[in-house]
Amino acid sequence: MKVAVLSGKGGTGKTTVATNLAYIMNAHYLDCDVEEPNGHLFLKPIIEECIDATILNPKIDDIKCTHCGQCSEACQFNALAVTQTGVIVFNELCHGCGVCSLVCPQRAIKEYQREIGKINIGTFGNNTFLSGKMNIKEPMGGL
Amino acid sequence: MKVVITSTGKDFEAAMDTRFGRCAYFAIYDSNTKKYTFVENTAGQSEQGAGIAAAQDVLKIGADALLTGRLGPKAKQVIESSPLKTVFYESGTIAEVVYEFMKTQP
Repeated sequence: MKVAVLSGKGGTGKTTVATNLAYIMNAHYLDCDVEEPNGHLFLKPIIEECIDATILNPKIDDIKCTHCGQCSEACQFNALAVTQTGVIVFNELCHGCGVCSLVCPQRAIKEYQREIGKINIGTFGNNTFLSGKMNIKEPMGGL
Repeated sequence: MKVVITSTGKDFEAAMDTRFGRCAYFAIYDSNTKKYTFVENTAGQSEQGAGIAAAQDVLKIGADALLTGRLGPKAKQVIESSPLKTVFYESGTIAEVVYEFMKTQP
């Protein structure tokens, strides 16, 4: 059984309920509150591994780019602006859908993995503990 | 010279919109013909990045100057990549703001 604990309101006791549930149900615990994960304070896990959390972001090849503007037309998140001098990429608005690289007639857009945070992997008792933490200034926690 | 003004309405008696990305309309004033045209700011409906999309649309209009209340940091980055001149006004109708701006022009 998988149980998700969520609330739109802060300070209501999500972490309290979730950590206690995991403890008494003897279950794995995933802290998805990437903006302020606190589950580790209660479950005191042993962290064994820390991996990068990444998102795909576009990289423009300025030599191939003709400033045609099709990428910025196609972008649903307004993450690209095409000007006379080149393409401005707003990484923090990009959802990593990749449509810009698909529509580019010059094939001037390559995607790369951009690190936006860390995932801590560990154990508490016999169970797995996972906790994500987003880098400071990353605005896309709700993605 | 072509001037773009952020507008709350569709005529030159309307108040200038102090917001840039989420303004209702763009007023376009042509100083040669002394005529105004108005286009809806469709970028204003965007969930995110309205300023970026609006700036992109303003650049497409091919204006020489932009008159508005303030520019957000992302819209500013896009606008500043072009030779477009930006002037800020606190309030006024479209006609008043254009009048004030034209006084400063040679």
